[in-house]
Amino acid sequence: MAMATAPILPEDLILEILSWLPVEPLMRFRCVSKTWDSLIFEPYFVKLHRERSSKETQVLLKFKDLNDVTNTWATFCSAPRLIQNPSSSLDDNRRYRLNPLNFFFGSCNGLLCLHESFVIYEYEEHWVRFWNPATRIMSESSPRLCLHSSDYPAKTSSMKYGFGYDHQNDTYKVLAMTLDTQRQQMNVKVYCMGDTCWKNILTCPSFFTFDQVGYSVSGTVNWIGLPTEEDQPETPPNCEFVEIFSYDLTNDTYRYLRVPDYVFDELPFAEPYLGVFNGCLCVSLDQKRSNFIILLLKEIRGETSWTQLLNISYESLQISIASYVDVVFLCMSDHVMLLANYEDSKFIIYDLKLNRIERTEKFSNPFHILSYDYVPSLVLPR
Amino acid sequence: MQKTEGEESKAENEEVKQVTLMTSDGVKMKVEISIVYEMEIVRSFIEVNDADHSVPFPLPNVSSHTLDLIIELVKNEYDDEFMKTFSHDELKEVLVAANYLNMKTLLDFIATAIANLLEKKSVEFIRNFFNIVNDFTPEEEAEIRKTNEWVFQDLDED
Repeated sequence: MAMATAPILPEDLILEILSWLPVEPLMRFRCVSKTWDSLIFEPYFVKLHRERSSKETQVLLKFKDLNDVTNTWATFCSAPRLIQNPSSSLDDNRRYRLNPLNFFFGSCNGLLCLHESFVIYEYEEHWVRFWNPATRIMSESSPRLCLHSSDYPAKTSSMKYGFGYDHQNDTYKVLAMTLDTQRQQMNVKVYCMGDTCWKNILTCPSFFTFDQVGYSVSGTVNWIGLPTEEDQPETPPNCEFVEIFSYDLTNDTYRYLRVPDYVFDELPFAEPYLGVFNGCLCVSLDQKRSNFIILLLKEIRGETSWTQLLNISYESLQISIASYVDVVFLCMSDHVMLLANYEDSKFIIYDLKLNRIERTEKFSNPFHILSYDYVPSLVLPR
Repeated sequence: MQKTEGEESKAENEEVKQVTLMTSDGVKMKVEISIVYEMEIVRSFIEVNDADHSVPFPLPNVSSHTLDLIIELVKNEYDDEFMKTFSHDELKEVLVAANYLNMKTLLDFIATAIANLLEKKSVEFIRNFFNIVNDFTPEEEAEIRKTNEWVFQDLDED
């Protein structure tokens, strides 16, 4: 009888195994051999890996210490772990320090977009870099978007940014919208990752947004805000409904989605927040100074279908109603949800099934935290 | 006693419930048809050809030992505990066989299991496991290790 020899696996079966691994061990296995080092970043493998890990959604947190902004960090972990121990998740030794002057936006297929700028009187330049937090690979700077104040009388702060993935064309796109105050228009410019220039795409009516950065979900980038008044495009209008400005990256079209059952009044009390949760757009709103509600938009492209994830009084969340309420939804696992209340600097862990607070936890520092739906990937920033 | 027509076809169906497979080491194994149906390569043959099931279907790339393991795995609905008793070579053999037999569920199950086994392992362990020759110069390897230092923490002992 022949001697039993250990089977040698062909390359396609090795890739089959590797495609089920998280990013971290794959980064380690680049050292195995030259072939492996290049295989791991082959577009075919990156795509296979992304498809297989697309359900392994994690939470990416960006947080800054309000007493010392040089303490600005990003880290990511699974929702159950974060809920179990929010403070120590922030202190994780794998967290990554960020330049407090830059901001990042968009979280798409494991990539983020970092904004950098150079501004002097009457002239400004903006550019981006792409960053993969899991592989810690950062791209070179994109070409610069140069603006002269004579062309664009609007200030930098009124620029809006978005980042997303156009499935149809397999392209990562950055959106920059500048405000033309004279014409009350927004000029939409697009930069495709790896391209050599920004392109002017279209102009559209100006739209007041609560957040400078948009959130991407299935090929669209979205901002929450209010349609502006004719004569004052930069100030919040006296308007009763909140809308989402939704930009389709494939077709370069936009539309407005009305946030239902919601009356917007007394602006400074609490701003609506937009986010992404499990691949759905997620809106957190104040309702009549008494309740905190979270709505989910299940399908962005077809008929809009909103569902209410939470509707709860501030009292039940042990939030004292002062002149302003600042509470954000960070993540959820099973029926337990993690909220951050910045007024008291504490985490609220709320059980939706039992309808009660499970516990609260003080921040170790007065942090401001934002969370992003995030799936670690091998996608190479270019 | 004379059989009615219904009874006769029932008896035929019962015969069809097993298919004989011939493994690489020449062992004839009778396997339940529900299990055989997970093997796309055999299934497509049985379905297309109105084959005579008494003639063993040859599997020249699968040993009787591996086929035994596969049958047990499928019977136990892919039981993790049972799979944990496999040696590394057995895992690899089942993976190769699952791929050859075109058993999608088994392939994903075994590939995931091997991935879990390797997740916290060192580079040296991986080279050994897959029989891979390191073609980096020491300098090149040191460079990759240095730029990715954070991925070399908290590993299992080899």
